[in-house]
Amino acid sequence: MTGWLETHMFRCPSVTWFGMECPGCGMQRSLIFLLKGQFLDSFLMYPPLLPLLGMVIYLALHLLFSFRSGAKILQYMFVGNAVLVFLNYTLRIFFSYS
Amino acid sequence: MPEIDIFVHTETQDRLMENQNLDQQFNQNQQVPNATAVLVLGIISIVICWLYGLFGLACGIIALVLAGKGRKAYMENPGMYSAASYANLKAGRVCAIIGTILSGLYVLLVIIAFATVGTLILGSWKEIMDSGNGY
Repeated sequence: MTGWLETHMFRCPSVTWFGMECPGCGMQRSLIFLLKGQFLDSFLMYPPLLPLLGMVIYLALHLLFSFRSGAKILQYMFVGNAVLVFLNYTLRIFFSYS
Repeated sequence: MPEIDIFVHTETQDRLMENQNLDQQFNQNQQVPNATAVLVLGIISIVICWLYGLFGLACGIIALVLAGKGRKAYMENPGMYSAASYANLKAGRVCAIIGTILSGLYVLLVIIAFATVGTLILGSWKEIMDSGNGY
C-alpha cells in the first residue's frame, strides 16, 4: 500500500511549473510516513496533517451520529486548523527564502 | 343518542389534532436544505489547499452559495426545520467564509508572484536584447 503510494505520488503543480511550494506541500509525504507508522517524521514533514485528519474523521462521525455540540466543535477545530496551515505555510516560505 | 354523537365527534376531533401534532413533529425534524453539504464543503475547503488554492476557492464559494439558499429557506419557515441541522449550516458557513478568504489570499499571492516573476523574466529578456547578445 505505502509502496504503491510512494511510486504513484502526485507532483505538486505549483512546484513543477513555478518552483514555489503550496500550503499543502508535504502532506502526501507526511501521510506516507504516517501509514508506515513513523509518527515523528510525519509530524516534522507536515505538522498540520494529524489535526486535519482528526477534523475530517470527527466530521464523518458527526454526520453519522450528530453529536449535540458537534457543529460548534467542528467550527473551532476548523479555525485552529486554518491557523496551523497558515502558520506552517508562512514559516516554510520564510525559511526557504531566507 | 345525542351523547354518542358528541362522543364520536370529539374522538374524531382528537384524532385530527393528534395527526396535526404528528405532522408538526415530523416537519420539525426536517433538515435545513444543503446543511450537510455546506458543512462538508466548508471543512474540505481548507483540507484541499493544493493547486494554487483553486480547489479550496471553488469549494468555499459553492458552500457559500448553498448556505445562502439554505438560510433563505430557513428564514422563511424557521419552525419547520431541526435546530441541529441549522447549527450545521451555520458552522459550515463560518468555515466556508474562512476557507474562501484564505484560499483567495493564496490565489492573490500566486497571481502577484506570477506577475513579478513574469516581469523579471521579461526584464531580463529586454536586458539581453538591449545588450545585443540575445537572438
